[in-house]
Amino acid sequence: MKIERIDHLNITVADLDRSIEFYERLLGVRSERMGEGRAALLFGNQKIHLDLAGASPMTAEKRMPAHICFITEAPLAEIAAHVEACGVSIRMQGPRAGAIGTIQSVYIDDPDKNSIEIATY
Amino acid sequence: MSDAGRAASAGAPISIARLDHLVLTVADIDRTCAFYTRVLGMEVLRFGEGRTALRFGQQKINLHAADNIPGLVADKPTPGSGDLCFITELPLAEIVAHLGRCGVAIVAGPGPRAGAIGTIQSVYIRDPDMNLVEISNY
Repeated sequence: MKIERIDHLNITVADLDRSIEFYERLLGVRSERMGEGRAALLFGNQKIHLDLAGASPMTAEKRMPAHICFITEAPLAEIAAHVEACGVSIRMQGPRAGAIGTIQSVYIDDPDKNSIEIATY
Repeated sequence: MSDAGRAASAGAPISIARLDHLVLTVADIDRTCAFYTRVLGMEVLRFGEGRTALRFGQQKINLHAADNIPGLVADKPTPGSGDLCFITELPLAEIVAHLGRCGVAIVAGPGPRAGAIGTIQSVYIRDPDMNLVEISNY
């Protein structure tokens, strides 16, 4: 069996509205409510499910303590400028090993202290 | 800066094309590599200074050992807290048959679920750290 790509992953969040607002503003993703205690962030042909802590029967007992790296076509300087314009602190930036080569990355924390990397090839 | 000023200076928001990678913190990197290569056909990638990843398509999963966590990581890196969905072109019946041959138990499904770009047919399994892994086909 050959895996093509990730379709989605789930992260557990303390406050759905806070996370939706953060990711929409910072990453320009679209959001979709999926019933009580659940939402999705849509981009490209993938998505991230947001599960409100304790609200969903499919939620893992432990919180997803995520490090997630997103790819954008915006150059590093624009990523950094946008992140700063959003009032979000950059923890680190520079070259990193991406899945298919070297990426230029900016690291930030999301509201649940997940480690989020925004990168460009 | 006011919220309005901040929004104005932010200009056009960046656009996300896809995920590049994510990190799984695992109890035993060799055990995880054996599982994901055998069951999901991923390729083990060694990179940097002794780092390990599982590669597939244009994406990868970086593996961190729970007893050797590097500096810049998530707030609470915990084995078994992941919940991931992978896409394969293999039809569902063949996915199920393959999992049977691998001796991997199906914990939910098969059945339809809401994928990122439409309805997927999915089965759920557990990996060696008890992460919930969904294997799906559009």
